[in-house]
Amino acid sequence: MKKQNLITKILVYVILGLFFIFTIFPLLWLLSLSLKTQIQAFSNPPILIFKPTSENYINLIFASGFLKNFLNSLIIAISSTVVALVIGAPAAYGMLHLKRKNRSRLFVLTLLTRMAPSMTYIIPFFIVFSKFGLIDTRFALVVAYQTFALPMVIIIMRSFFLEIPRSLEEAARIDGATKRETFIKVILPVSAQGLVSTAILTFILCWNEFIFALVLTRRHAATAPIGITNLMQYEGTLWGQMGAGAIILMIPSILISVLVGKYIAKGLMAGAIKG
Amino acid sequence: MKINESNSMFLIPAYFTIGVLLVIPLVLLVIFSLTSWNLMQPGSFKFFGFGNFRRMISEPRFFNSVKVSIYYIFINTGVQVIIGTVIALLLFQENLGTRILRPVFLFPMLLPPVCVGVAWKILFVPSLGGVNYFLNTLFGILGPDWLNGATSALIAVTIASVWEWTPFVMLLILAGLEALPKSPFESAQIDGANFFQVLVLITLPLLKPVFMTVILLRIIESLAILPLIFMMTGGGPANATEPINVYAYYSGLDFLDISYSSSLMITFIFILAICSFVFIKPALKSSGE
Repeated sequence: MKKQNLITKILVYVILGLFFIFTIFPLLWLLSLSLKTQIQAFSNPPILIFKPTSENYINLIFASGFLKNFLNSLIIAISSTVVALVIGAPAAYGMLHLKRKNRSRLFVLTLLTRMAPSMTYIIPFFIVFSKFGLIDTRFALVVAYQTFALPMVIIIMRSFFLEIPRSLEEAARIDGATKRETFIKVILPVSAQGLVSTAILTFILCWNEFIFALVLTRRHAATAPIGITNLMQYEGTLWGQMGAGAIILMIPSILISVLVGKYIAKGLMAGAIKG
Repeated sequence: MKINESNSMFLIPAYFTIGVLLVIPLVLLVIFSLTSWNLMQPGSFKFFGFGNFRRMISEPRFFNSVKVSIYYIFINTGVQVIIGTVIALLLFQENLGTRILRPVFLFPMLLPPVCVGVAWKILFVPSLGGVNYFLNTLFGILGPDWLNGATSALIAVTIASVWEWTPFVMLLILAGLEALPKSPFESAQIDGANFFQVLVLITLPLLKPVFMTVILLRIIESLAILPLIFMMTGGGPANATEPINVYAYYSGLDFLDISYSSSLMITFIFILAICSFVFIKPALKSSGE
């Protein structure tokens, strides 16, 4: 009996170990490629131990306009997150005070918006934004990103607000606070942690976005993911630079999951299970 | 009355925005699909009835894209759910594993999909070593030119999508497991049930609502692997990995055939609705609305 337990335990850890390797290996491979010269990258068999070079990173940042794409990504992701939070958080709160039937309807509408495939929006947005001369502006992307950022904020913040005891709110109202004052001075401070993890998750969604950026930008407002795809088209693919770009682009997500992974896991669940 | 008035102040900005962003595109999509509008042909914005849909069913490329879509919807989702469930069950047994491994397993779904595409493309291009090198040295298998063969390219996209989304399934199932009531397991233990009896008769049935939600979410997002496909295969070779939304992308934005592309998207939404129909009600119920 004991022996069988041990064998089972070993088997469990072997399977988990394999899955761990499967998860981590592509990232390590990508990292190593980004640190190789073009010649080293194509050597056969692949070189596993080598003196890392920073040339891919330097070329990418200084020679290819990637820096501008990176800044665009940052500006667009932050603006989209702020807009979504400012109009989404009050809505998540207001929703809780509706009658059950209306609340359900609004919630389903929010889910629908969140779940509609992005290609549904692409053609109409492309036409409308072209008509108004908004193609290749950061503004267009901030608007387009609200199709997923806003529902995301509402869905996650709702789950955090649901946890606040009703008595807290009632106490504020009895003290004569208006609804707006209650929201700003009581509800928001209590749910500060929820607000932060919602902001982080929304930022990541916008930072990662690809298809809207591909269609709605050209040069001026192109984001970092688009900058990476551009490396694929010129005279052969610059694998090393592409790897370097991918690694740079991953940094925010990796930093976030290592530093605050524990806190955003809950928001991630709320956004997922209920959205 | 006064309470309602101030409440609408909270709701109107967000739901006005959502309404505009959701309804206008949908209405435009339907209108476009009924015309023969192609941006390359001036004056082609004319009523065309169901002409686009008739054209669609005469195109082999359309049927191919439906076939590929259904492959992604069921195979990708299926593999993700099966592996995700196994890993979640194993992690649930092992407390230590959970603490160390859970943060690592968070990575793939938080990364930009473009990077996931780049990482897997690099692994599958034979001249860069990667998968084929390891297949050869570890197992003595001569790997195919992955992204240039119809079947192997499809498998490669599936592997990348499994890498990206299995952790998501795992996380949700794990949360479901942690929320299960303890008493059925205790009484099963007293009755002397073995591991597999408990799994099949208690754990999996209790998890059914979670499964419904997970499967629904994965089906709906199964074709949102557009960035992966763009980076890895571009829909090729010979459209072998091109699902209907990628087909719509090319016809709308490369050939500027706005009307045909819109019709494809409407068809796509119908396919999604049909495939996820069974899972919607149970999933909504489990989310408390």
